[in-house]
Amino acid sequence: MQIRRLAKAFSAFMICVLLLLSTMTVFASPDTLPADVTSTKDGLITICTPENSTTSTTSDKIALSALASPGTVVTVYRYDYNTATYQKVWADDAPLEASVGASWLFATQLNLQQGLNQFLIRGAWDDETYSVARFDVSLLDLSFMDRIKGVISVFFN
Amino acid sequence: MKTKRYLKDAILILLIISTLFLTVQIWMGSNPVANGNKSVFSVIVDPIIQLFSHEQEASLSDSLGNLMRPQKIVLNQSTKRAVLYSSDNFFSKVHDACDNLIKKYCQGTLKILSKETVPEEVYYSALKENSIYINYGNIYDYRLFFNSICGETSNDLNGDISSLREYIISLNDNILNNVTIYMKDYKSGNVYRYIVEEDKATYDRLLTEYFIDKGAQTLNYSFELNFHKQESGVGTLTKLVFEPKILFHLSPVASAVVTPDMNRFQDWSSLGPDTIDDLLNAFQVNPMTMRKYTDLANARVYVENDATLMLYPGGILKYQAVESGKGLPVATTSDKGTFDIYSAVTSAVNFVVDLNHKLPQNDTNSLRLCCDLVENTTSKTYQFTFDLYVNGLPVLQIDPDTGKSCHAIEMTISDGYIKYYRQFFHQYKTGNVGETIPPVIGAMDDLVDRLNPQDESIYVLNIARCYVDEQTQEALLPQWMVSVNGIDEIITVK
Repeated sequence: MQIRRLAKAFSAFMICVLLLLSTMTVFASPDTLPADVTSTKDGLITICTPENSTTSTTSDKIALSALASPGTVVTVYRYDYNTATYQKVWADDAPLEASVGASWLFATQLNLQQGLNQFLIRGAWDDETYSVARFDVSLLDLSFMDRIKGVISVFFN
Repeated sequence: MKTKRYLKDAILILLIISTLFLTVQIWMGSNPVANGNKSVFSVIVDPIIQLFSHEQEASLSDSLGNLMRPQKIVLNQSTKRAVLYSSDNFFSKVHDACDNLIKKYCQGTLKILSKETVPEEVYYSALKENSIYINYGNIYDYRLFFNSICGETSNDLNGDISSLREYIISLNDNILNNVTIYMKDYKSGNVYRYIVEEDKATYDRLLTEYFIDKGAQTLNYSFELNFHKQESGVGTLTKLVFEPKILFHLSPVASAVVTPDMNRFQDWSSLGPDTIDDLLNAFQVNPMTMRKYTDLANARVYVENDATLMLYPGGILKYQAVESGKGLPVATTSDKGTFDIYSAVTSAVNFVVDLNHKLPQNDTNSLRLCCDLVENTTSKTYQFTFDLYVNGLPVLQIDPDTGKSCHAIEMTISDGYIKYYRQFFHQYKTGNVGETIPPVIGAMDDLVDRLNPQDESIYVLNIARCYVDEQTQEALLPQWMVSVNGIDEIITVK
């Protein structure tokens, strides 16, 4: 009799713990996404910068900003040519992933690699409901720009 | 007979000398001027000396330069960006170099290659080039600004600039050896671009010297993030709209803690009677005629004819003129007819500097004017605030009566008279850098939660860090301070 009571109390305690955990757990986005991933719901995320889907720069960092409704989990992915998939971007031992707060704001800086960088931003309400947006950034070689400047300076001086 | 005449003459001469001696004694030792205990020297002789003295102008310029120093300096070099505060060792080096350039312009020793107005976008793009961005944090009247830099109020820029908050020295990403100065006139909204003949390498070297052993910070202007626009691309109404040049720290910010320095100011009794007398003198409270008592809050209250001076136990000094009274005269005789923002600020600065020099443990180097200094078109009443800067950041106090944050000094000047003055005399010391505060986005989430905007966006004018002293004697960690609709909201993000 007493064992049954104890079992009931233990079960109630476990249910409470599970309920508490369920409210605290934020679902994590997948580490990889297939190259042809598409949105299951449109308009969950709006990219503010970069403004164009294709840009080029000589700076090895680029600002990424976006707007999303509170609670949306925004994750940044970079295209991996070896696996032909999008891989979650990591910085300082943490993924570039955040749950958007009441301000609707999301912003981060992305490190660029030489050549073409293909990014994908995923804004998700849950595992099944998400939007994706893509943009490409080409990092130009600084020495190439310097060579052009050198040629111009020869003409001016 | 002859001896008698000599004796008479000698007595007469002695009498004349003693009369002169006693007159001087009376003048020096008594308070013959009504409404206070100013000596004859301070009322009659000093103003005459000042008329022929250039020293006061020079010291005023120095005081203005110190109290109107930039809030921050942003260095941009290629992909690197860093923000400097007055506590950084490199701050004064960069500030001096930039001041010298403006001084040369004011003195007419700089060759101007071209001058034109440019669109605001060009101004923003200069912030992305190799450049030095000097941000004062407040809008300053041009006369005060130029006086603080070069000791003169008029120069060639006068026609263009009537009030400004910042300027940019751009090192142009081109092969020509010249420098571009961008200035925005906050009255007309025009942005001026002056290309001047100056050795660009001097400023390039400064940037290289700074970044040679320092990494770039994760900083972006709000215009780079497109957070300065009213609506997003798909028509979602944004909750917050930011002033375009607000800097966003996108990663946690390392900060030092500060603690109250009880060795520098403990309470009023630690100052000694002479210092208290000096304070009373500064407010023209006459110890011979005043009434003195201690109120229920244990504050020392000194009542003069038309004003009250209160010294609260927590280190707050408060002066309040009665409504019908004039208050404390601070303007010079020449300013009385044309009392404007320039006269008001110079009077306020002179008063604050003089008052703080009377306190042995106080200095004005930590103080900074933290309000817009532009003409008040509706009345001749001006309100000024000064912040105490520790570790490059302002320390605000929580008013025990209202629970709201206060500046170190708050004063009201009307027609050349101080009507209200309040100063918090605590001093602080800096601890080690070891704590971090969360990125600014978290503070914005808390701001929206607090203000809960429904149909319209909130316009954020400024975001900065500050310390808040709640008089708990505990170490203070910086917090985010957000200026919204002219009100500073302090946001603690855990």
